[in-house]
Amino acid sequence: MNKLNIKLLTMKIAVLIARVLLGLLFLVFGINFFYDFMHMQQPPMSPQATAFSGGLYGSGYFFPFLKGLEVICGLALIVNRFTALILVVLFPITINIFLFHVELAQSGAPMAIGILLVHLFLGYAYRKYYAGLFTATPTAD
Amino acid sequence: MKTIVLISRLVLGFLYLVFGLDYFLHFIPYQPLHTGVTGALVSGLKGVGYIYPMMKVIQVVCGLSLLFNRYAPFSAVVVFPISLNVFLFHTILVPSGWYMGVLLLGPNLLLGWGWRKYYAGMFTKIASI
Repeated sequence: MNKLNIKLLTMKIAVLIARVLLGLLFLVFGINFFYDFMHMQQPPMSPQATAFSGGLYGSGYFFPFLKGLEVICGLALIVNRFTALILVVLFPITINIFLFHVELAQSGAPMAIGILLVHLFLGYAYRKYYAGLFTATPTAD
Repeated sequence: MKTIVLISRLVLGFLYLVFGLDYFLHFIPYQPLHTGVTGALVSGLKGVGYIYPMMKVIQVVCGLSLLFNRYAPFSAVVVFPISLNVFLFHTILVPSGWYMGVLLLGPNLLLGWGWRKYYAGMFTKIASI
């Protein structure tokens, strides 16, 4: 095997690990919302963070929608179906997990930073599928 | 389709630019007062400090991008989660303002269809690196 092949193989393995890891995280935390199997203790939150989560919970539709999306997208990532699309769908969620933990609940910040980095790495790895997305002056058919 | 895309792009860009700028400049006289769960949701979101500034900057930038047709297919994707949430918020919590959600989600979906060739790569079933 020459040098290029080794580099490509390393990248493929790294992407495989990152994809399954991100998929598992979303799947597990998604399912846990509907079926609380992890019995996680909610760490004490600041009044701001409590009002924020409380407001989102109170709306009724927000968390079921978010968590349903996380379960479906987590599964799709693990089985590698529509990965490029799923990464785009999940990106706003990742950004908000990152901001929430960095700004409001620092205890989870390392995990949130990890998720963001893994997500960005995958976006970079699949960049060829996003070429059309960055068309400067589009024309419609 | 060209005309539909043009109208959708201008409507979506204009709405996001106006409602984005209004957050910073306050020029729209009508401000709805939300109570109950809706009030709790809005004040919870406003209380965190980063959600609204981030969302409104995105709205202004993407609104301009859509109006001037520069990197508009990307902007249409960036604002899609906002359009979807405005739609859900208004249909479920504030049905009196239902048309706001439809006015954003409708043009946004039409742009997605009109520009589908730019999104084709993203919809690859089994992507490999």
